[in-house]
Amino acid sequence: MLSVREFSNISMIKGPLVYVQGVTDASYNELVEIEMPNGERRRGLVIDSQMGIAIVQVFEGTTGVSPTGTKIRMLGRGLEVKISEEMLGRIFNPLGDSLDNGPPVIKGEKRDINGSPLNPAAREYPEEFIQTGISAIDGLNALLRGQKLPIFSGSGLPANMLAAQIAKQATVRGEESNFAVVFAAIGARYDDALFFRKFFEETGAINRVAMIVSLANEPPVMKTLTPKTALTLAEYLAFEQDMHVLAILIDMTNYCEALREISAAREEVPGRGGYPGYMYTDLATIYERAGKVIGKKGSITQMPILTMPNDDITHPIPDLTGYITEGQIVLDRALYNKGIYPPINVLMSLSRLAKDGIGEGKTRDDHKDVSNQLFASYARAVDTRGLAAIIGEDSLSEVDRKYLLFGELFERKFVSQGFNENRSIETTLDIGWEILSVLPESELTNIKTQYIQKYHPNYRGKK
Amino acid sequence: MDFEQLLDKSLNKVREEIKTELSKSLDEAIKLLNEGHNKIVQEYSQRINELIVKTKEEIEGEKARLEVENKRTLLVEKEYWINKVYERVLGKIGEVVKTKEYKDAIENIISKEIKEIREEKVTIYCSPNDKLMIEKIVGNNKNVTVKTDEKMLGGIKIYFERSGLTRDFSLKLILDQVFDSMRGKISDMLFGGK
Repeated sequence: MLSVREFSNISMIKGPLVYVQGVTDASYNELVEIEMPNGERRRGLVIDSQMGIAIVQVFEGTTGVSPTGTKIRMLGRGLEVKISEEMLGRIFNPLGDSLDNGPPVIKGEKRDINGSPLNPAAREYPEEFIQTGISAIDGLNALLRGQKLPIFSGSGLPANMLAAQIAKQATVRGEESNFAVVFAAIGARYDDALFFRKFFEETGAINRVAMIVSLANEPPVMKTLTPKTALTLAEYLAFEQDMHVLAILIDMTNYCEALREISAAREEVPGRGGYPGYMYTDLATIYERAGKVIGKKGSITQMPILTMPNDDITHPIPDLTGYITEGQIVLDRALYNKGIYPPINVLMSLSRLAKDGIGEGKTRDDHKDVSNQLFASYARAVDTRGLAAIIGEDSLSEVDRKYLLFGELFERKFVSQGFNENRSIETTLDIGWEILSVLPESELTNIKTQYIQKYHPNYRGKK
Repeated sequence: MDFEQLLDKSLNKVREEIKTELSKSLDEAIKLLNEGHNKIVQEYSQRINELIVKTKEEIEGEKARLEVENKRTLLVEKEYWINKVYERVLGKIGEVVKTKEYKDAIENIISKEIKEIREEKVTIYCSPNDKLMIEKIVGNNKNVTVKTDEKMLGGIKIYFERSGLTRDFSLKLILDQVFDSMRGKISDMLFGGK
């Protein structure tokens, strides 16, 4: 029997929360419908139940809700969203309502958006390379199928552009047709949401992208639901439809801010930076919804993007994110100010799993060695810049001057690329070789001789 | 004789030098020309490639946009016909309320819900057509009042005064929930598909 109960005793309204009196049988996370005297309906969730009072968090906000004449209907079920492959090419809000003037999902599976954790024993180790077409990622911090690799951005840095470019270009080589992108825009500004939509439409990527969007001016709970709905869809596409899904979550900072807002309204004891003490666990419940499962063909690769407040990598949001994810891609304001796009600071970035998905049989035999050499040489180039600033460039040795040149070329030719430039991994590695060739061969100590003879520009074409 | 020989020798030497210089300059000029030519060819082929990529992207974009538009139009059409089915089913509620199963179900609900209350005042809301039947089921229980709700098509709503709780057993609500879970199946019946 459908257990629908209706209440009309509202004892308090506080921020996004409504306190309903006389409810003794409310379940935690039960879905609620609020009917206002003018017939308008809103939805919410039971987030607390004590002493006959149920605390309901209203998705659409409590503006205009009056304690008299409002009916609170407990629907006897949790928040479920209808999920389907119909959602590819379309835009929805986190409650599953369409935002593109189209109809709601007709045929689909109703799923609890909170998902359930993957059995650790059922997980499969990520080993296949995803080509994003961006040299600084593919060449040095490769993304693998089933990995969770966040991008740490700063305010004003082009994280949106990078996210859109990755969503458009990312592909699993050889399995292009089975690749989908679930794009969660969390608390996005209207112009950002419009940018993503137009970009995907104009570049032809919209076909394989499903967008779940909550706007900046929407109540905090809508923002906290966005990644959950997106990942529920990603799980369905990956594990029921055998697709390889890239889930891009932008911007997780907005998610954490929303979490803090709700936590403050619930009068919880604040933790570091005012964020709730359970933020680590909460973030883990999102980030851990990625991976590969033994016996299933599909996979979920996660790329959460967050803005580091004040460019501070020790801020609780990037800090806690870094504990959970498998590395990070860091955007750098100094590179951005030099006019380099994408301004990826490769020395601060890391992909913990990259080593297992690159090299012979996966990308190209010289990938690991070239990657190591580029890292090592660029690190030395950066050190040399510091030295040159003190003693002057003229006082540097011949080799050190070559390192300075290498550093410049690395940023201008390897890291920097066009917004519409999609580089294959071969092109990326060839550019790597081209810039490494400015260094004396004796400096290429991280690369095996056989690869130098095979790929170094000095040897190419010679037998 | 010696002088002429010397003159010839030096002239030849100068000639040779000029010849070598000329050939060097020619080689250099050809090299420069080739380099310039290659550079221009490279630059233009790069531009042409960029243009090709851009145009391809535009075509792909237009294609994808049309495909998505097409998909949306089809879904809008499907939704229209599914809603038509809903309206027809809603119209059939009038037939459902005349059946014996409906009366038995209402009786079951009322006896179960009213058994749980003791001295609490309860109001049962129902459609005008069901009022007599429900009053008969309630009998002479003084705590229960039966009222009609013009908006109701069938079923009942039970309001418990003390707790402010209303239990909703209206047919419209049940239909909405059941129909929502059946949308996929109805779509398959109407338009085919697994």
